[in-house]
This record gives sequence, C-alpha cells and structure tokens, in this order.
Amino acid sequence: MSNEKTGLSKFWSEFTENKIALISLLIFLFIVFVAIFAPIISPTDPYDLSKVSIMDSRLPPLSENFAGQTFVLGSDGAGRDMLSAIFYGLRVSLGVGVMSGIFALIIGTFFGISAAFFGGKYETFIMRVVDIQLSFPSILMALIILAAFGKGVEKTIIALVLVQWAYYARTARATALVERSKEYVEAAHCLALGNKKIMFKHILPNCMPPLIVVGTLQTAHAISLEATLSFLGLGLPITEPSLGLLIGNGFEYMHTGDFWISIFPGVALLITIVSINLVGDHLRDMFNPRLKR
Amino acid sequence: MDNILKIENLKTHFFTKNGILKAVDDISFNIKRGEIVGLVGESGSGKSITGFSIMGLIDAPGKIVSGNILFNNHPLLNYTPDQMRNLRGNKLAMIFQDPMMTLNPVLRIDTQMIETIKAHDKTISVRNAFEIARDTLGLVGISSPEERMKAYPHQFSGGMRQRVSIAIAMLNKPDLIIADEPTTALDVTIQGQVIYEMQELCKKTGTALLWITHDLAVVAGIASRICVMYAGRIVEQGSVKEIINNPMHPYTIGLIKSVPSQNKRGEPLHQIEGMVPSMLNLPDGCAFHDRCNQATNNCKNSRPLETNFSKTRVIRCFNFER
Amino acid sequence: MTAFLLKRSTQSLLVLFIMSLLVFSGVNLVGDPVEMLINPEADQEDVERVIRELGLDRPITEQYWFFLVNAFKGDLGTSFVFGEPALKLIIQRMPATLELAFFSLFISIIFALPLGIYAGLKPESKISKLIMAGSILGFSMPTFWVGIIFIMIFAVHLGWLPSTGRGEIGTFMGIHSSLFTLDGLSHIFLPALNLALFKLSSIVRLTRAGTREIIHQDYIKFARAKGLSENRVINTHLLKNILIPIVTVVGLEFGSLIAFSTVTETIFAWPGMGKLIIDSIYNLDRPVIVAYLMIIVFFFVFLNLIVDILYTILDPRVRIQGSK
Repeated sequence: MSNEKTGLSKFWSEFTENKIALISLLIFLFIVFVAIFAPIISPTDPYDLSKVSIMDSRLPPLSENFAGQTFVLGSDGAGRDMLSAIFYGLRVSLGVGVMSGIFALIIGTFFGISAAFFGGKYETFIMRVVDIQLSFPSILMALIILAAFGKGVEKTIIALVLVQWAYYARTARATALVERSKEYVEAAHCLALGNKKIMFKHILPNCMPPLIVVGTLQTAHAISLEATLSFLGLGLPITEPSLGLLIGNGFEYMHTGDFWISIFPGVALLITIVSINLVGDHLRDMFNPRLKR
Repeated sequence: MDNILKIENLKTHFFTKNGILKAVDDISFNIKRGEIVGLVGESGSGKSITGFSIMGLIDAPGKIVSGNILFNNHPLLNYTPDQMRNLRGNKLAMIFQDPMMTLNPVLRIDTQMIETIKAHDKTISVRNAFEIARDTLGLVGISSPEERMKAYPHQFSGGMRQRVSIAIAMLNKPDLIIADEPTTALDVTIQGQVIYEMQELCKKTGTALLWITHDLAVVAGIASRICVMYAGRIVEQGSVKEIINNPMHPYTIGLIKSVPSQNKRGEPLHQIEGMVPSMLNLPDGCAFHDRCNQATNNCKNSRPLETNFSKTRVIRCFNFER
Repeated sequence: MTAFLLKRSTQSLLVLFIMSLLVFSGVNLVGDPVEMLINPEADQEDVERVIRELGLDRPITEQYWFFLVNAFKGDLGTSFVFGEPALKLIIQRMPATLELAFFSLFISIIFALPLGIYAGLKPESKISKLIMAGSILGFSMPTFWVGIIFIMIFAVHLGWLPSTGRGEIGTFMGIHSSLFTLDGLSHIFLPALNLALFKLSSIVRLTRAGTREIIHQDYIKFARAKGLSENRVINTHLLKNILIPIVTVVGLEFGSLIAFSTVTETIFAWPGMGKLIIDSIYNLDRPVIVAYLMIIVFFFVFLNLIVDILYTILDPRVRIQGSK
C-alpha cells in the first residue's frame, strides 16, 4: 500500500490537503517577503522628506504626481505614496507582532513547562497569575501598561509580550503535564538525566505542536492589537508607522470621501491577519485528536 | 404464533474513506411474539449494527443496502422517517449499553420519561404521564419512585440507571425491545438481578426481547433461541438447548469450549486460533475459514448458504458436525 | 447552595483586595504619584498643599489605608481635565457603555447560536462552509477596521445610518435607554454590530464545535431511539448541554466587550466609559485612569462570580456536588 513518509513530509502532505490553508500560507510568505524587502521593492521612500511634497497630497489611486510617478494606490494627507507606505507599514506591523510573539513564546513556555515540571507552590503561584491575567481582555491590559509606562516602540512590544505570555504559559503547562505523566519521562528520570535535560530535550519537543498553533493565532492577535493601539494613537510613535497608524491617519479623510488613505492599509492588515488565522486554524484542526475519525 | 419481527437477507454497509465496511452482510432471523432471542457475537461481529438497523438509527456513512425488515408485518425499510419515529420508543424500543451515557446528564429523570410518553401521545396530560412513568419505575424495581424521579442521572448507581433505561423502554408498552449489551457495563451481582427482572417483565407483559451480547453464558439463562453471529453473518441459529448441548458450527463449538467454566481444573483455556477478519477486507468464502479446523478448499472460495437442518436449526457451513 | 455562594463571595473579595493593592502600588511605586495625581500646572505651594492633603508624605501603609477608606467613601480622585470627581464622571458614562455592551451581546447570541448549531449539524453543507468562512473573517478583522468600513459604507456612501453619537433616550418600565426610541436604535445599531462581530464569530465557532461533539453522544442517539421529534432533540437535549460551555465563555467575555467598547466608542464618538478612558490616557488625566481601573477590576470580579453562579444553575452535576 502507501509507503511510510517521514514525519515532516507527512505533515506537509496533510497540511496541503486543505487548499485554503495552503493559499493562506503562500500569501503570508509573500507578505513576509514584502516586509523584509520593503526598502528595495518600494516604488518610493515615503519617509524621505526631500522627496515628499504636500502638493501631491490626497491624490486618488492611479494618479500621477508632479514628478510623473504613478501613485498606484493614491497618496495620503502628506503626499506620500500609499503603496510604499503600506510596504513599510507591513514591515513595522509584522516586525512588532512577530517579535513580541517570539518573546512571549519563550517566556511563556519557560514558565509553563517549569510550572508543570516542578509543581507545588511554584506551579500554583504561576498558574494563579496566568488565570488572573487571562481573565482580563488583552486590550485592557495593553491600555493599562501603556497608560502607566507611556508610549514607544519598546514599551509597545513589552505590552504585547505581557499580554500574550499567559496564553503560551497555559498551553505549555497543559501539554507538559500530559507529557510528564507519560512513560518516557519516567524512563528518563530512571536514567538520572538532569532536570534541565529532561525538560528541554524530551518534554519541550512534544509541546511544540500546540504551541505552534497558539503561536500563529496569537501572532495574528498581536498584530491586530498593535494596529488597534496605533490607530488610537497609543502604540507606536509616528516615526515607526505601522499599518494601524496609517489607518488612523486616514480616518479623518473618510468623511470627505478620500477613502483610499484608510482603506488600503486596512486591506493589507486584513489580508495579513486572515492568512495567519487560516493557517493557524488548519494547524489546530490537524493537531486535534478528537476530530480524527 | 406469528412473528413480531422477520428479518430477511439484511445487509448494512458503511461507505468509508478506506473502503466499504460490510458490518451486516446478509442475515435472516425471526422473533415470535413474546419470545426472547439472543444475538451472540464478539466485538465487531455486527450485532449492535443489526439492532440499530432494525431501529432505523444507522447514521452516515452507513446505509441499509438491501433486505427486508418486517415488524408486525409492516415493511420497515419502506417507512418514512416520520413513521419510523412514531414506532421508536413506542412499539419498538431499545436499551443501550452504557446507562451513564444514554441518559442526558442535564435533564431530570422525570423529564426524560415524560417526554417519551408525550412524544407518542400528544393528548395526555403531564400529570397522567408522570403517573405512568412513576408506576413503570416501580415495575422495574425502583423504590420510592415518586421522589427518585426528580433526580438527575448521575445521582443514581449504574444498576439503577439501567433500570431507568428499561423503564423508559417499557413506557409505551412495546411489542419488541432490542437490548444492546444491557448488562455488560454493570457489576456482576447486579447483572444477575437485572437479567432475572427483565425475564420476568417480558413474561408478564408478553414483550418480545432481542438480547444482543457477547456473553454466551448470560443469554443462555434468559433466551429461548440463540443466533450466533460472526463477521457480519449469522453462522448458526437454534434453540438454546440445541446450541449449548449440540453446537454444530465450528465457531459455535469454539465459543462454547472457550467459556472458562467448561474447563476442568488445571487444563489450559481453550482458544479459537487466529483473529476476526477486518470488516473492510472480508474474505470471499466463509468468513471463518482461516480459523476453522474443518475448513476445506470449498470454504475458501464460496460462501456457504444457510441450511435448514431442522425446523428450528439453521446453519451456514459446508462441513458442520452432525 | 448558600455555602457555595459564601465561599465564592469571600474569594471574590480577596481578589478585589489584591487587585486594589496592585493598582495602588502601580500608581504609587512605579510612577511618581505626585505627578500622577496632581495637576502638572499647579505651582509649588499648591503642590505641597496637595501632598499634605493627600497624605503623600506619610508612610506607604498609611497611604494605602487612606486609599481604601476613600475608595469606600466613593472618592477615587478628581479629574484634571474636568475638575470633577473621577468616579462621578465614570458613573455618568456607564449607562451608555452598558447599553452598547448588552445590545451587542444580545445581537451576537441571537445570531450566533442558530448559525453555530446549523453549522454543527450539517458541517458539509455549502451554507455551513460559508458560515465558518464568515466567522474566521469576523474574528480576524480588527474591531476598529470593521468600524471604519461600516462608517464608510453605511454612513458616508449610503447615508442610511448616522455615524456618530448616541440617539434619543426613551423610557420603558423605568429604564432609560436609547434602545427605546427609533432615533436611538439608528444610532446604536452600527456600533453595536461592530462590537458584536468579534463575539459573534467566536460564539459561532464554539457552538459549532460543541454541536459536533454532542450530536454523537449516546444520549442523543437514545433520545432519537425514544422516538422524540428532531426539534425536541435539538432544542432541549442538545441546547441545554451546549449552553454550559457557551454561558461560561460568553459571561467571561462580556468583560472583553466592555474593554473593546473603548475602540468602538472612539470611532463612533459614543459617549461611554471607553471613550473617556482613551481621552484620559491622551490627556494624562491620571485620577480618571486609576478610577477606571478600579471600577473595571471590581466589575470583572463581580462578573466572574455571576458566571460561576450561572454555571451551577445550568449544570446539575456541579450544583449537587457543591452543596455537600
């Protein structure tokens, strides 16, 4: 019958069964590409003040500016090319979102696995903190932190990390608990392997699948949250214009009909978040034992 | 006496991603009014599916592919879903295996009983339905039924819950109850009680009973006739005495020999060698041939048809012991 | 039941106490309390006077005690911007926010439950796939973006509905709410829908998952074996079981509705608590921020308690254990 594929290729073929998830992954990879190479592939540098002119402001899509360049998606209130602004914006949004996600993953996983492993008062304390934090909506936490510490790039990232770590911690602990009671851990104990070794080499790899699922969904959430905060003017400063900021800037022009200043960055944001969510969703279904018939 | 249930050449197949699972593959048997018949087979033999097929509770990807089911001379396979619904819980009832899972944990016992009555009698008052339910609970041996009815399923013990299921089955005075492993999940001591009570109940009310089980010993005590099922086919049928004292099909012989009490002390337990074939991949010929010590080439290639050995005995084998 | 209530109430009070400790230390130890609570425009003499009045020159434990006492008396500081007690400002705006949140909750449940159950019962149908696709979209789209789109389409382009403000207030059975006037409804509709979208999507997904699990349970098969009508099976047997996890999630997430109303209120200029807190963060109106935090914490603890109580009412297995 069918030959046994290796773990990774089996995973890949199962993943690609769902065409939508596959397309979403490709779209997301494209977005990452754009984000990384934004300075190179952008038609203009929207933040080069010498090239930006107020005379070009609020031009509708596909119009030309004085220098003869076509603004494919129009220009914003300061005369910047929307397409370029969106490319740079993607860079910031994605960068902040992914970086905060990775930090949160590391911190959360550390606390989660160690809590499951050591148990006792340590575990109870950590999980209480996690529970209380999870019962507060993320936006509230972010607002509190930013209100207390002020705005800025590092503070926003810190806020995002603080908001997310608890999800990772809870998931990591839950899987670690299941793994801990499995026989191979007992066997490792019997071999007198050090605690750290057991945790990292044995328990951690098995916790990865659900953590990856949480990771994708949380990253999408972090990007959305950052956009919301920047839109409200509370997140990143204007020197690091994320998509949220662009949308916020464009909001005032909505009522006069210059919709493109807000809508296009919004669409870019939407595509980013939706593609990540679709991938994460499919991953979650793949790893869910209860759905296997 | 006429037959309350007549099954002819029933086939129920499941159309799965991995192939066609022939859970029930051409079975025929009858149940007379008031008779208790045992349907015996190991896990995966298709006996539960037989029960569900009669009730019309086969879900996708399963389908009754061919055959006839006559209940009180009505052809059930021609019934509309509404007609089947009218029949279920009414004249045709079923008891499931695990009473903890069959009663809805968030609804009270009286709710679950009264709704069964009201589903088949729209005009009855709640009070009357309550009284019928209460009396039926008393019938199955539950003391202080009036108070117990207000309880929730998890407040009952396993044996009590099964009694409640039996009571629910009896509420609308059914002609036939299909009991799918009703005592398997119970303690051995309770098992005996419940078996005895069901037997008495059926005698008293004239209700026919199809007792589905893997445990030959259980059914030998209660049934008057036994059908032995293997890999979706009935390999032997007959009266209890005949089957137990004079089994003819090699599988039946093996089954009876396997019952531990049949052994002398110190003797190794008897086993039927080999394993049940996968239902997705049934052999062409007799399903039992690769485990049978009487098997011939014929058995491998063609399916034995049913032979009426006597008025009461039916057997599906080329080489059965006479 | 009463023993259970008592236990939960004491737990809640404990959490409240701890949170007040956290907020207090946050304000006083992290930032400069003088800066936080005193108007930056005040001159040195005023600053010293206020320091003495507020007891900021006393030891920290005494300060905390004052904080608690004042909190009990209902004094949580005075706003820099408005010059009025912070608590009063928040309470004034609370009805608008609660109105928005409740209406959103109502909308999401009314639509999400049937959609979710349908998608769970017939997972392969085209409509179900559409519903699921819609739900992914629903919780992916950031609330503020949806708000903008709504305004763009319904207010600017089509001109059907107003895009800002709260409508006229009507009275019904002694309750004042803008839900009771047509003008009020037209104003609340877009923001409520905006707020509801996220919740709706997650409830649909939750309901669908729950339905798919429950529909294969033995007790559903048994209910059908009893000859019950399909309506009864779904609306009683399925529904009562599915409500348990949903109520828990919805209840706890009601708090997030209140939190996200900050965004919706800002976009639609809805005069609620949310808009107040955002404006206060802009204006560094710290007393209001502190007061808002305390109220939100109190609200959350209270909400958790309610959800626990509801849970015991819905699931008899918990109820009967709890009273032992």
